[in-house]
This record gives sequence, structure tokens and C-alpha cells, in this order.
Amino acid sequence: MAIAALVAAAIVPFVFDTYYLSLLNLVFIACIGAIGINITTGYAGQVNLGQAGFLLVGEFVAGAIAIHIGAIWANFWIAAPAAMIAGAAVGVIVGWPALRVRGLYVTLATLAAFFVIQYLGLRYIEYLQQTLKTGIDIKLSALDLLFMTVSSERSWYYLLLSVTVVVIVAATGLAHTKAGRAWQALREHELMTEVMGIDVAHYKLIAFAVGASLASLAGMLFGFYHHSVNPEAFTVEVSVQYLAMIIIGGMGSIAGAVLGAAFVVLIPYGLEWVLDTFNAPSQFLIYFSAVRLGVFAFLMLIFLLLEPEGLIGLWERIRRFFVLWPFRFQPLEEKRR
Amino acid sequence: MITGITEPSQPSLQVADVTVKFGGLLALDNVTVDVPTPYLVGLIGPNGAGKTTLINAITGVAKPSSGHVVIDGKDVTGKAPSQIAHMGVARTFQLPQAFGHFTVVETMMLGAHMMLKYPWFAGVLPFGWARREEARVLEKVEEVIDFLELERYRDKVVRTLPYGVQKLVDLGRALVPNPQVLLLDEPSTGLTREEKENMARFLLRLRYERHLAMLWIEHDLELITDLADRLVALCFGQVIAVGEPKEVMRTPEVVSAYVGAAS
Ligand SMILES: Nc1ncnc2c1ncn2[C@@H]1O[C@H](COP(=O)(O)OP(=O)(O)O)[C@@H](O)[C@H]1O
Ligand SMILES: [Mg+2]
Repeated sequence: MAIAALVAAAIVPFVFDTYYLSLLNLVFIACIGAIGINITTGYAGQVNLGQAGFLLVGEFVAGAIAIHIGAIWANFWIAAPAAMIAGAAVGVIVGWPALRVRGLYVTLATLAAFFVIQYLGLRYIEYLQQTLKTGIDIKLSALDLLFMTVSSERSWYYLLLSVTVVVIVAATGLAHTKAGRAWQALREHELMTEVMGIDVAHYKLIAFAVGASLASLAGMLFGFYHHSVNPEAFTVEVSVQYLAMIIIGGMGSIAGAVLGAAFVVLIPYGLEWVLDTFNAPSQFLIYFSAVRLGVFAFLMLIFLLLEPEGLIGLWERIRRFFVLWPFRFQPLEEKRR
Repeated sequence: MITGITEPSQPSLQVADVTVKFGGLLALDNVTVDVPTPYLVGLIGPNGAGKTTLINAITGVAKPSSGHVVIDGKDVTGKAPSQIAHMGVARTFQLPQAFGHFTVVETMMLGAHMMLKYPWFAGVLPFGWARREEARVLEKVEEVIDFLELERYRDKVVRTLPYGVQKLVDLGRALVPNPQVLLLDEPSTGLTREEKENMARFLLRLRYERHLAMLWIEHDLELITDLADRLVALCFGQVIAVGEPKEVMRTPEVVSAYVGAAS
């Protein structure tokens, strides 16, 4: 099974053309960020509207390495730990208010943090433009792996696939050991969690650190993938999209985060494709991009109201339906066991 | 009298002159309670008497404005709840559903958090330190599941289980880290007669097999009079009687507190 999946993943780049590969690559990057916010928000219950800010941190780490330290250091094995450490540090700072306030106030703090990071980012870009005479967006060199340069769509596919798999394995591991249980417990009831000998403040900060470090890793990869540092790409809408991914996919489920990331990234392209195929007038496309945020908000509402467990919950229900068919419920015998 | 019980030496839990105020409300007024090992102390009193607040004060959830809480000779007044838990104090909750989305095993592994010594990030690896310790602690969890006869619910999601079973799971969660002091907040409230007797049976076994110091809040006066070694009666935040259960039940203050609450 695992081997079959591996072989399938390995031959994908030889079956699909570059356009589809580039879509997959965007999905992988989104997966990494979505698994991150799923830890902060899905597991630990700290609703984070600043994910775009954490992504931006990673992009700046990419920029800083490529511009200030020298392109020779634009190596994945340096950039990845650097981005994750920087992200974790910023995550701890942003998570600090969550030790004093709860609920909506935490979310507002993350939103405020996003604006601060964005402001600092724009300032930094201005500075670069004035001192280094760079263009509007900062061009990045290609990302090095140990013995090769990641430049073709295909090599990016292999790198991003590998990183995503490692992140999925690591996050699943965390979710099923003491950190994951502590996060879910403090999401449900902080005092009761504390009474079990769990340092709630400690685990809240860890949830922010892990979530932000994954977002930062995704941001770093995004920067090198597009060969540029462009803070304007990371708006509040991006934060909303990341929240949408885990709401649509299913909160507190890593498979859900992956599904949600794929869904949110691919939906605009899917609709474009539909409109193209049916020769719809081009105005539709313009309208569509204008109302995209509304579409996500609408989808989030639908899922929150009708399927709070997201796509993964929907999938479970469909699976149960077919496993049990033609019965509606589990046979009594099995239930009793 | 039951034999085979040694007289307790030093109390494992001492509550000395503890006062807890909520704004102008005196929830606990100079309350003094000793719970020696292995004693089962019953805590009774009408609703709103301050029973849960006493457990909150012991576990560090409520901060006393005066007085001391002493565990095993160490003053823990004002310490954080998680630190007090680390000193061997565990409690069950009046309403056990808070962590209902976990399975029974997961709930108990959550309760075992303090026993897991690996650093949290070791969990990223699917092998090694974290997994070894999880496996080791899982064995202890299985013992508790066996003890409470919860095998058949092992992998069920807690909130789908009958209320009586949920209460047992909550007890199991508290028991897993081997506490020295066990505080039970109405373990039998809301249970059927049969479930109640089941719960009482487990609590008595705990008292005799594990030598715990137990403080048990109970509304079923008949049950607690039969089982407790000592009773403490609270009313409006004050201790109105303490001592041998049958005698406590006969004191005029207790009689009138319950008659007053009933009318
Ligand atoms: N966190 C709190 N804030 C304010 N008042 C409280 C709080 N907790 C309990 N009280 C009050 O303290 C009194 C004792 O409550 P409690 O200890 O829960 O009683 P019980 O004996 O029924 O467990 C009640 O009057 C209750 O309303
Ligand atoms: Mg109470």
C-alpha cells in the first residue's frame, strides 16, 4: 500500500504536465501552512488570524539569506531550519497575549501581530529598494539542495512532496503524543487541564511556536518557489484562506488540513477550468476573483453550520454508510463489544 | 469495624483555617479539615455550602485569602494547580464531560501526562524515546482500565458512553498518575442505584488496596455514612460538624442544615 503510493507519487511528474505540477506544488506549500494552523487553532483552540504574517516571516528569512548573507547560502538545509526557528520565535511572541486573554481577544492579537509584521515587511522592502536599488519585488536566487539546484517544476515537486510528507508524519506524531493531548485538553477546558499537572501556558506557547514555524517554512518555500519576496502577496485574505482550509477540511485532523488545503487552493482553478470549458464570457472570471473572499466565507459558513467536522467528517460519514450498507446503524452485537 | 487498617500517622492532606472569598461572598470561612492516609473522609453539606470550593482551594484553582493547604507536610498554598498536581493530588470533576471527544484510552493517557518524561518534541518521531515511554505508561493505563472494568469501552469516544461510565472514566483519569491524595467531587451524583454501588465498590477497593487519602463529596447521606471513616459537614462555608459519621449525622446542626435546605 505504502509502496504503491510512493511509486504513484514518484511517477506523477512524468504523467502530468507542468501546469498541473505547479498546482500540486502550490497545494503542498498550502498543506504545510495548513497543518501548522491546524495545530494552533484546530488542536489548541487558539483561533489565529495571523497566519499570513507567519508566512511572511519565512519569506523574509528566504530574502535575508539570499540577499544579505549571499546566494551561496540559499540552501534548503540552511533556509529550512532558519525559517522554522524564526517562525517559532515570532510565534512565541505573538502567542504571549494568549496567556493573559482568551477567545476573541487572542484572535485580535494575532490579527494585530499580522499588521505589525506586514508593516515591518514593507519597511524592509523600502529599505532594500533604496539601498540596494532592487526592483519592486525582490528577486531571489534559486534554492540549492545538497547536490542540485531546485529550479524545474519537477524538482520542486519532489522537494515539496518530501517536505509535506515529513511534516505530516511529524505533526501526526505530535498529535498522538503528550503535546497533542495537552493541546486538545486545554482547548476544551484550561483549568481542568491545569489540574492534571499540565502547564497550560507552556503548551499554548508551544502550539503557537509550532504553528508559526510551519507557516514560516511554507513562506520560505513559497518565496524561493516564486523567486521573489513580495509582502503584498500576504494579505488578511491569505489568513482567512488558511482558516478556511481547516474549517472546510476538518478542525483538529491532519488529513482534514491536507484535504482543506487542496480544496481551497484548487477551487479557483477548478472554477476557471469550468468557465473555460463552457466558454463563459470573461466577465465571469473578473467577478469571480472579486468575490473569492466571499466564496470562502460562504463555504466556511456552510461547513460550520452543516458539517462542523469538515470534509474529513463528511468522508467518515460516507465511508460508514458504505461499510454498513444496507444498515443505517452498527449492528447491536458489535456495539456491545 | 473493618480490620487490617493501621492508624494513620501524619495527615497527607491538611486544610488549616482556609478562607476563600468571592467578592463579598465568604465561600469558605476558616475551614479546617485533615485527611490522613488511608482514610476516606466524607464531605457533606447542602448545595452552595462550599464543598467544590474546598476542593478548588486544595488544588490551587481557588486562591485562599488566608489559611494554609499542606500536602505531605509541605505548604502548597498559592502554588499553581499544575504544581500541586505534581505533588500527588488528583481530583475528579462534578461534571466529567469536558474531555468527551477523547476515547477512554486517550483520556487516561491524558491523565498520565505527568508520568511521561520525554520532551514534547520527541513526539515527532514515529519511534524512539517518546514511543517507548508512551508504551510503558500505556501498560499502567491498561491496569487502571482493568481495575475499573472498562475494557469493553476502551476505544469508545467518552461522550457517547452512559453517564455512569463517563464518571468511571474520569475517576480512572485521576487514578492513572498514582496520586497520594484523591479528591472526589460528587462521584455518584446522577448515577443509577446499580452504578452507584459499582462506584462505591471501586472507591472502597481503592481505599484498602492503594492506601490513598480520599476526600469524597457525597449527597447520598446513607451511602457516605456507611462508607466513610470520618465525616465533615459544611454549611455556608463553615464546618458545622466533624467526626465519626453516625455521630455527625446526629448533631443538631447537621440535622437542621438538611431540614433547612429541604424546606
Ligand atoms: N468562581 C466563583 N465565583 C463566584 N462565586 C462562586 C464561584 N465558585 C463558587 N461560588 C459560590 O460559592 C458558593 C459555594 O459554591 P460551591 O463550592 O460550588 O458549592 P457546593 O457545596 O455546592 O459545591 C456558592 O454560593 C457559589 O455560588
Ligand atoms: Mg459542588
